[in-house]
Amino acid sequence: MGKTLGKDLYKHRYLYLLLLPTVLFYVMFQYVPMYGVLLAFKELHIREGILRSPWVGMDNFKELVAQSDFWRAFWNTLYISCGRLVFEFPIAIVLALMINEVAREKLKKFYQTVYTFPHFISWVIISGIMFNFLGTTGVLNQILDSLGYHKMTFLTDPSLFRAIVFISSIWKEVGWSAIIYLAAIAGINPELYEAAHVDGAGRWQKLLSVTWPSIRGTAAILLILAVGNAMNGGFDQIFNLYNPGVYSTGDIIDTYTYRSAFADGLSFGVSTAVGLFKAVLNFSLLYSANYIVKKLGGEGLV
Amino acid sequence: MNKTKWIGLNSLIAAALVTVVSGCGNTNNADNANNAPAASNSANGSSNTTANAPAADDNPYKEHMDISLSWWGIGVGFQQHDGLQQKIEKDFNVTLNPVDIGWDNYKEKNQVWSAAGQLPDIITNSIVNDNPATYNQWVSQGLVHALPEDLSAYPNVEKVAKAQDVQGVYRDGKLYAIPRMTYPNTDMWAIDRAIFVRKDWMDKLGMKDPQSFAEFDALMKAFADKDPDGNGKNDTTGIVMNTLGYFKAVFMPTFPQFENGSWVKEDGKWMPFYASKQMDQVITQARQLYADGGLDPDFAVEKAGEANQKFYQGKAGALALAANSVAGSNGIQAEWEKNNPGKKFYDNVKVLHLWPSADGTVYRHTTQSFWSETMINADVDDKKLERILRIYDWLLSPQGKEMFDYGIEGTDYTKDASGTITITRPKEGSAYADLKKEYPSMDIISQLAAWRNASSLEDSPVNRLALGDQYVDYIQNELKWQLDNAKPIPTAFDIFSMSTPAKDKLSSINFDEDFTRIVLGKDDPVAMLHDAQKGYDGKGLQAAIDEVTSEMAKQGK
Repeated sequence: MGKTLGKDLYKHRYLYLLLLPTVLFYVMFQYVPMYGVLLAFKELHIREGILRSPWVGMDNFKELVAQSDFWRAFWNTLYISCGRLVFEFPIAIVLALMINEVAREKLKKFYQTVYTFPHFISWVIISGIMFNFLGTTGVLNQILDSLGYHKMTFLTDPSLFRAIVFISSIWKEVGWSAIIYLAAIAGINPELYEAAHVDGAGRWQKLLSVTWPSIRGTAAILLILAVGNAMNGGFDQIFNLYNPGVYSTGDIIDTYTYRSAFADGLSFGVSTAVGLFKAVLNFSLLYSANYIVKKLGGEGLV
Repeated sequence: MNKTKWIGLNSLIAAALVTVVSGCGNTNNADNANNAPAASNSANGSSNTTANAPAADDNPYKEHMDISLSWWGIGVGFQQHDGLQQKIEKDFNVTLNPVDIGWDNYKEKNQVWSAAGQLPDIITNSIVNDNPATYNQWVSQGLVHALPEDLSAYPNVEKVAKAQDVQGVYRDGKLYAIPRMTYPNTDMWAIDRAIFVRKDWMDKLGMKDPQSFAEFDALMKAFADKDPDGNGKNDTTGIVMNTLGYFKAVFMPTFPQFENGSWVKEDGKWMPFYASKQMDQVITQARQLYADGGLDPDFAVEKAGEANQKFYQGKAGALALAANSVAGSNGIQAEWEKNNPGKKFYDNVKVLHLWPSADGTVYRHTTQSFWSETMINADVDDKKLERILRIYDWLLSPQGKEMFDYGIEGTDYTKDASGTITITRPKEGSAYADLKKEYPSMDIISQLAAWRNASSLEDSPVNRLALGDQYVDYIQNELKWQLDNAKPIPTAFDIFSMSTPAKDKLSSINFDEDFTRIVLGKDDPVAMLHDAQKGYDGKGLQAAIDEVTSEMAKQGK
């Protein structure tokens, strides 16, 4: 076995050599910094550094779970992440299928560009646009007012915040997310469509029997990745959109960690404990999703 | 592949790796000196400095030094490298490397830089009072330099160090921060809070100065509902605020200590304002104002200063800010008149004087005589510490004040042998050209060591010339009214910088966020407040109350 591996390594030595920088990069910048998680069990003495700071056992975790704000952020993260899986994830697939059905190539490209463009605008800019659009003196409220309705405080109403998060995220990212499905669709063998056509299939039947089965695998992999990313509720977006009025429904673990570490004076140890807690949870979610997809007959990641 | 190719490929990969690693790892190179702070790379600083002793050399400024310096918006202020900045750099033989921080995130930035070991040489922060736990941490972990115990070589800095208010800033007998004094006495805080109101709108609506919160609420509601600008649109609101801190003035008659965020003695115990029973009424009133539409519905989503525009543009009837913010090219008067052509600010806007509280007393704002502080990076060596202290001593000196008042001698003014000053800079209209326009760094340099708010409040020939008689009279009248008619908020100044284990941890409580949340909420505000207060117990509130009460008892208070 060892001999075979050695032979194999030697045989493809140049390919492995080409791989080496990437491996080194990951080791240096992704794995080595992981020693930072030790901080979750330490009290950081800044001049001592992480390794020489004293151990405090599980104190940081105990302090963390005693904070009611943390649990609020924890549940919000779960709700928002589930919402993203339910509302945002399928829409990219639907959009890709719809764009694919557009017959004229130029029109197809036009739609694709229109839907993809918002991806390149930062959340900072979008939050400004949304304030102008949804603020009490914004466009939407001016329309409501001219129609005789009461003005609404969209941005400070906790019951509307998650909906705003989902809608704005769909608007910004759906086109970008659809690209990978469009690529998968582009790779489908045209003969399959021709065969279906000969068998008398209409467009809807072709979509159900040829297109969808061909991209199902891609969707399954992306779903696993999305579940694995579930505890990351989307810091950029929420941080730029939220305010104290909507903490009850909008404060997620990432924004809570940010505030607790930098603004509210909780120790870096507690903040690292939050991060570690989240990472472990993400890891278990990823494995669970992978397991379920494999059990259902799909191809998993691992 | 032959040997040469093999070696070539390996060299290429190695070079690529080195580039990637060095590119990613180098975060503090010369190119980003304006953005990333560069701590002095000198030997470990020691508190046993000899900085106070003059250098052996005749010229104490012989050696040129680079000093990195953080300040709010310093990047823009120092961009032009104007004459004032050049003069300071030349006089003290230094290069000041600006390190920009923003009002919205300066505390976060300082925390990140401290963790990364990248604090600038001169650190601008406000943790002594705002977050004593972090201050203690910085001191105990040796992040900041202790000032020399003998400051006699820097008499102006020494004066600050010996001020009564500042004694709570010492840790183990050493001072680790130079508090940025605001006024020479706590009385002058009186005009640091003001509710500006549209006099013309009040006249049009037939409304008088409110004598109670209910009347204030009615006035703000009328601004929002009764189309005070007569444009036929529902596009006005009641009160907007520069920041939440200024808005709290509205509640001074209800619960004075809420306004200045101080501790209060209740049922024999000292407690932070947010634990007081008196907060029930504050939160009820704040919710009412919001629900009635008298409070800007967007107040929670606007960033500092954004809402002011609503007042300038005639979209709001009142603005909560400081009285002395009227002056200057970006002041309230200039901004308001720019947006309301043909109308005079002083004819149409006035300061609303607050109504008496339940005991018949009219209260005025007061707080500690300093807000925020300068710290010196612990990595700064003794020589650089000496240079910094010399600069700070000059900034606090009468000579420094003269420059901030009149500009550069020989360029902006002349002084004869008798000390008479003649301003030589050109006039713009009836007043002399604004020094801050000529020297964009003026605002920053003049405020590095002290806020100097008092300067603009003085009834002095220079203020009359530079800011106009109308402004000086307005400030003097307002100050006089406050001192004659209002009493300062009874304030336990000792507790601001007092440090006890549980009190230090209270910095994790951000009451402003809860206040905003409750005002915006739909449930009963008092129930929401009590719920929040219960949550504070989990953050050590009761222990802090016990510790502080015990400490105050030792002082017979």
